[in-house]
Amino acid sequence: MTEDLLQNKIKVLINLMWDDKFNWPTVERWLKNFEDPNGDGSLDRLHALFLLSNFSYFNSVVMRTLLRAMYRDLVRQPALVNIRNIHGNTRDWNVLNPAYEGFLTKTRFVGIGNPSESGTHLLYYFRQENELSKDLFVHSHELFSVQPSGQRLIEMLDNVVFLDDFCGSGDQATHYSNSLLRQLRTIKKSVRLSYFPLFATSSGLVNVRNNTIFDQVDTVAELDKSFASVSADSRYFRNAEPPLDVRLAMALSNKHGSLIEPRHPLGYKGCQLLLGFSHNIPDNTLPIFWSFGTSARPWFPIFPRHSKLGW
Amino acid sequence: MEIRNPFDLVKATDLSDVEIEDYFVDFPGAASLLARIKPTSPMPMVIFGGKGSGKTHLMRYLSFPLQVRRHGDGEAGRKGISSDKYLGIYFKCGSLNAYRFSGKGQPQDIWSHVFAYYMELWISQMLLRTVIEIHADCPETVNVPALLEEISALLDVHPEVPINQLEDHLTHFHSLQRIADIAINNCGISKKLDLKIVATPGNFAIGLPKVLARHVPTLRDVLFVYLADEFENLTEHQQEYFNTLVREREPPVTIKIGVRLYGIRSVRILNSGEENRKDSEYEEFRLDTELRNRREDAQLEFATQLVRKRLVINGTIASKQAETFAPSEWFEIGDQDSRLSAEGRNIAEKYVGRDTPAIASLREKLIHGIKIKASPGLDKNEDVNEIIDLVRVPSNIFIEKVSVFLLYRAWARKQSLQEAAHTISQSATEYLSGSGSRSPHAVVMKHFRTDILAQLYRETDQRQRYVGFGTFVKMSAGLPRALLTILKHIYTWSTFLGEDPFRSSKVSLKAQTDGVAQASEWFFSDARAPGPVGTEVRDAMTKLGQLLRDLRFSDKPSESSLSSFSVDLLGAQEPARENLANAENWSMLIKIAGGQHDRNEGRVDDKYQVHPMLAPRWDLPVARRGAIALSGDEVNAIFGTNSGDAFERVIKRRLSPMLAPMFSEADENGSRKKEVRPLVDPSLGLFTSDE
Repeated sequence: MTEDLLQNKIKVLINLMWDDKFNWPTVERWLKNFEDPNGDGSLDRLHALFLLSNFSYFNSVVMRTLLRAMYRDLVRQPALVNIRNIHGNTRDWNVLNPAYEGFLTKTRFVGIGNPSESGTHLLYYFRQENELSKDLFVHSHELFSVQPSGQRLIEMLDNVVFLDDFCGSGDQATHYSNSLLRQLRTIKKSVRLSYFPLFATSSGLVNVRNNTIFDQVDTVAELDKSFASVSADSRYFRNAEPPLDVRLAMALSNKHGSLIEPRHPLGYKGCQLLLGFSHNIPDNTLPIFWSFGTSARPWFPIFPRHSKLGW
Repeated sequence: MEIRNPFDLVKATDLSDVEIEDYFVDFPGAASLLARIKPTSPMPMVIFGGKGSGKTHLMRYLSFPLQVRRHGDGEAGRKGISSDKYLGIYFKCGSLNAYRFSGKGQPQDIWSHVFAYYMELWISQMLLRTVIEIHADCPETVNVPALLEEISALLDVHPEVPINQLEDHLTHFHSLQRIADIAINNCGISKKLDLKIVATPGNFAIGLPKVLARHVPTLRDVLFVYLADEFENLTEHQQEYFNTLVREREPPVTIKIGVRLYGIRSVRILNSGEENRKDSEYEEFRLDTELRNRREDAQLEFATQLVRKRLVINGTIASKQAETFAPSEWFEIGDQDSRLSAEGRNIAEKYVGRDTPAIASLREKLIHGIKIKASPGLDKNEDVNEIIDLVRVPSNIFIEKVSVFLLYRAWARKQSLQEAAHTISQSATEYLSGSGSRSPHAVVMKHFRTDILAQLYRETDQRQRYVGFGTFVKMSAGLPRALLTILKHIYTWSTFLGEDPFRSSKVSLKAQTDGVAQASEWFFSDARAPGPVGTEVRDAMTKLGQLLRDLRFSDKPSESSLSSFSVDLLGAQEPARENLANAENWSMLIKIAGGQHDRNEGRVDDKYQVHPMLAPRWDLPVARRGAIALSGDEVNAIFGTNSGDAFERVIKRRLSPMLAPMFSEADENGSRKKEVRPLVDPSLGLFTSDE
């Protein structure tokens, strides 16, 4: 694949999918990161462009569509199936609608992480897109609040749904939720606890399923190991022709990644993803795309990540 | 402030009335396109034009809403229409859902009647709406009672509803149309066409304007011009209704029909075997041909106006700047030195210390020629070095390429290569010193410069250059939409590359090259006919493009700027003829007026040029000079449904005389090859072959 073809593809992506976030001079500025004063550099440049041409950036329109899909497929439809089973498989909306309203009143949606993090950031759009009442959304601590009836909120609920934008390794969901989930379960044994990230790696889902007490862990878009972009299983290099070579791409990502994000040169826990959202870029994505580098090795990111403090 | 792409909107159907007015451009004075359409002439006209030739823009410009925009509302508008001496009633035949008026178990002649009736109702409503709007602020100036009565009299069945004002007639016609709609739409289910026809064809389309002219002062001396656009969307029988209007029109009515090149399905009139004849019942106006045939400077000025208007409206340039704004100054055009000195040096840089591609290829062919005893005057490989040393021009890769070309030409003529190399070396030296204005190099540069340059770009991995505003105008070849589409893509590329086109920076060569390539691809997919016909034409064009490209990039191309061909249709089979006609009708080929004289047979063959918008797809020239004469068999192999083998044989036979070392006289089957005939291009008056 020639640089011209890659440029064409990237132009189309920028114009149609990436909200015209940047133009070619910005790409050139990013490519300068890879320049080697002692070498030809054309292969590095080609591989960097190839990786960029496979980057999946989800703009706000697509994110909102996915949030509708999440609600429809993971919340509403399963609940309606359950209600129909209870009511003799009825299709009568006069029965289904009130029953579903009842289901919702006993359900709360909670963002994973603290309120400044992206999981909670999504709740606003999730509510808007699915036309849900704001009463259905709470902070985790509110689940323990005492209601006018004298009960704590969790005691009045059947379902608590934890929403997240992305589950990479699954560590965050595991760490965050374990103590909280156990407390909730202690207060109300029968409450159903669900964890729904919009995107999740297969291994992250397994981690959360195995190491938490969530009753249900599911996602809209599951990323298997072929999404590890510079691995031997990489889907992106499956049909790539020489001189494109996944080993060169791995070496390139690792070489620069080691300098700019020494602890996780290929993204958090080596996820190697090529993924970004309109509101932020997950740290599981290759750092060559989002990192600002270090004082010793500054880096110009093409999709800058608005960082939290620490990993 | 972010500036929108000024060339985003390229279809007149997407433009509002305001935009139609604002974007309109015409040739000055007597050259005006509007004058050619002659809106005040009672003679009906068929306006032919390829997709994007500007038919809709022109016809909408003549329509009533645009007349009002030009003159103003109220009295000013009325005076304006009176002084225009015409009233433009524009409609798109495509909006009729023509397919409704067929099948459903009803015979065709019934549908013809129903369609005619429906059109009468439709046209009547357009006329009445227009008149109501014209006199909205002074209804008292119209002799309403008499007018209403005469309109009622046009109906075969008098309205049962009270008619007190023009609006009542409009409502009545609308309800009659609704009744017809219901009957037509339900016919498919009930298998009965339950419709009472209450108006005789022609009574309204021709009769109503007469009545209006009698009773509406503004329209007294005005010609009612029906502007029927998208005529190609009507079926054969539906076209016959309009053909009948053309034939039976009476003052104050005329009709101008806008139609694609392929769109006329019938020239017959209803209920008779008679046909309308060009220049008797109607005249023809071929819009894209007209635009193409205008003088080059006039075309450039027209295109400049198009661009200026867009840039002013879009805010890219100020209106006071527009008059002197020259788009051509905003496009980089690269090295214009005839010897390509500066750019040539850059290209040559990567070949320092080794053969350039042209020399490397020549060396290989000479050695092969010695082996098969086909390199005249050369016996051993050492001789090759001598030739190469003479031909090589280290100081100028372009002139070296010309030298290689000259050597191939001498080789094809079986001249001694040593003698030829010496002559070529001397010619190169003279040419470079500026003294060789009659040298072989100078002669070749005169005719083959762009072809040799194209070869140089190709073999040194450069992209072909389709750059400069003048080139884009030539590429559009009478299709303003093609020009706007080129500019649209170039503008997108330019901003993507971080440039500020038409404001602070020139458009780079890269933005132009990429934009043109994209526009060319758009043309190839957009301009084709739908369905299997489109696929066949596309396949044929791909074969043709491949043949012309291979000839252009051969060692010794016999024709300069080869983008044209003539065809011996007598020897061509029907499928090939059809595909050829379809390619022309869908603007992939341009028919050259006058054709091509076959010198051997004394025949005048049809001649075509590949539409220059497609040139980048096959690295062909935009200009037209040389042409090849395709035999019937060759036409069948390219445009027919023959197997791919037949086409491969054509390629081999055509190419073998132009490839070293054999420059063969025999085809791959060993039979004598047909002589490649030199051609005279009558439209240029140039002897275009080097044979």
